[in-house]
Amino acid sequence: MNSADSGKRIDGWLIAILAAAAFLLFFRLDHRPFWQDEAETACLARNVLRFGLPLAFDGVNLVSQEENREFGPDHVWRWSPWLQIYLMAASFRIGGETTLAGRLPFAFCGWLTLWLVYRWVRRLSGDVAWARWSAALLALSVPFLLFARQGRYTGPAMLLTMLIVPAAFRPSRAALAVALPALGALFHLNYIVFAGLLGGLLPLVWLERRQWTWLRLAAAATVLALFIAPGIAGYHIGSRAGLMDWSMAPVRLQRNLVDVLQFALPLPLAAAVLLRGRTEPGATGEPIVRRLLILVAGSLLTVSLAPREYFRYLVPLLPLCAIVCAWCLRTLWAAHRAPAVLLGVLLVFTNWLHVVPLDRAHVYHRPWHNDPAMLTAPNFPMKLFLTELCRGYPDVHAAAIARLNEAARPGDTVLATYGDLPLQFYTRCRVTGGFQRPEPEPGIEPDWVIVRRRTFLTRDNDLPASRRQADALELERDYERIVLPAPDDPFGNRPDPAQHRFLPPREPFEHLVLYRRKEGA
Amino acid sequence: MTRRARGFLLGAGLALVLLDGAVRTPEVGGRLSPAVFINREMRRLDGERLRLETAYAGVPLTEAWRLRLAEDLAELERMRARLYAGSSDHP
Repeated sequence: MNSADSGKRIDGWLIAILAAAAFLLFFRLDHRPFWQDEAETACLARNVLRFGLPLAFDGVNLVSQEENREFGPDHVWRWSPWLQIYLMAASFRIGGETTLAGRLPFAFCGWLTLWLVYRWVRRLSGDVAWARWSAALLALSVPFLLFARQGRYTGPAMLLTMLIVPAAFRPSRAALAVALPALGALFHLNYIVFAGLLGGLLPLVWLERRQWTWLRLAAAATVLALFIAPGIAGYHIGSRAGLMDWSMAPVRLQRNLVDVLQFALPLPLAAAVLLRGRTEPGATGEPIVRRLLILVAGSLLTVSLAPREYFRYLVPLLPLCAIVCAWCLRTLWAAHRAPAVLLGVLLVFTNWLHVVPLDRAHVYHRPWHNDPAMLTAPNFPMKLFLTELCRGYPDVHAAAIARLNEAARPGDTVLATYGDLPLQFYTRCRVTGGFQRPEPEPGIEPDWVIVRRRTFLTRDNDLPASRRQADALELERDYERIVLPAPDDPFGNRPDPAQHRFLPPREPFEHLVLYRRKEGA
Repeated sequence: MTRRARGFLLGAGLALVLLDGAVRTPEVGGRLSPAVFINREMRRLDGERLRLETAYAGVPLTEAWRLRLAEDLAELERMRARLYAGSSDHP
């Protein structure tokens, strides 16, 4: 590893990394359909093209996963920011309303993130090897790839993070001119992710306070306020206060911390950076890495105050953790070559350094329903990822969509206890169910019913209306039971590393079952 | 501690993680000693079953929670059956 920055403008290693990442990010980007949350964005994006606004109701179908809390009587979407919806709408306008067009701009943002990671590390430290390894470890991180291949805010959030973070280290006028609009854009992508990153940036601003003048700080705060003020009112953020449960914050913090250690920054590396004696000669870049860890800690604390814990709120940390891991590898190589090779093997080919020490310490987080071929167990993540990509996966939504498009008549009504939004996007049916709160329609029975294996409860821990509606039907008497070969996975192509399945289960598993109303029933 | 000793300790630690990880990975551990691998997973599922039942005992067993418990326990049983059949997700 040659650390000297040769000053060459084009780095062959970077081109190779970007080429490999392009394959990993774009190859068969549409091999599985949108899952429920992606389909929410897609349905709203389609409505933007039709009505000019993200309306939750298009005259036939209603988009809701929160019992109609997401909109008012005008059906204008207020639950989440609009930037991802408009980004997908723009892509639909250019490429048509397809899965590929829906995901492409988001994956492109993920790809650009790699270049920004390389560029920032190289500029800040002058260490080309560190820059290369940072980009390479991120490109080979399966959680990064899963999130970047989603038609949601996660890819752009990582890109914006790499536009924002440099300003916290060197708050020059030029850096702020990029970072402030990027921070504003992050707010309009997802305000929880925005709050998390801001919570990590504030301690850095404090540490770098000598570089800030009061005037510059006040100007930056004012500009940022101007960017986000319309959203605070427009997205009705104040109305979410009732969803907060502060008593759960410590538990969420613990789970979020374990998730970061499990999927992004292995515990031994984090400990090594934190415990390095101050008397030791500091390696190049050590202050940067320590500050990045402060940013990670601040983000973790802030995100843990959110009403729910999802790893996706922590995606901005993935590039930063890759930079820290690369620094560890780089520093170890300079001192001890053989252990550095071992570390490289562990980081590039396995998730063992992430999972095994946590397992040994009995603190790791592996949901009970996880099988051994998921990222929560010791595995070869890239092999799992490539296997899914090349061999495909019998996606639960793909199976339902294919059967409905083949057998349902346009305008047929479908009641699905979950997964209603992918059906709305891909079929010509009127789809109710999920967490919609439908008006009661006495005497009208759906043409198709899908009762999913797993029942999700409402925020009040109650059965959703769709499940009660399905239970009230005489399915065995009035409907024909159609068993599909696909497993009834709860989510489909969900990217969260603790939920994503790469390999289909072997029998016995619960198959997806559709019910079709019998003629004359 | 000398530089060489530190390098040796680091290498030994990483090698241990490498070995431990290999044994616990389905593709390696599941092939080298399937019985040990399956037993370890089975013990995990037993623990998860106990944890689920305890967790559900802590909430009022409404219709919704009863349904969830039944679904979760049924899925756990299927997971056990998959393991007993020797069909962990890596053959």
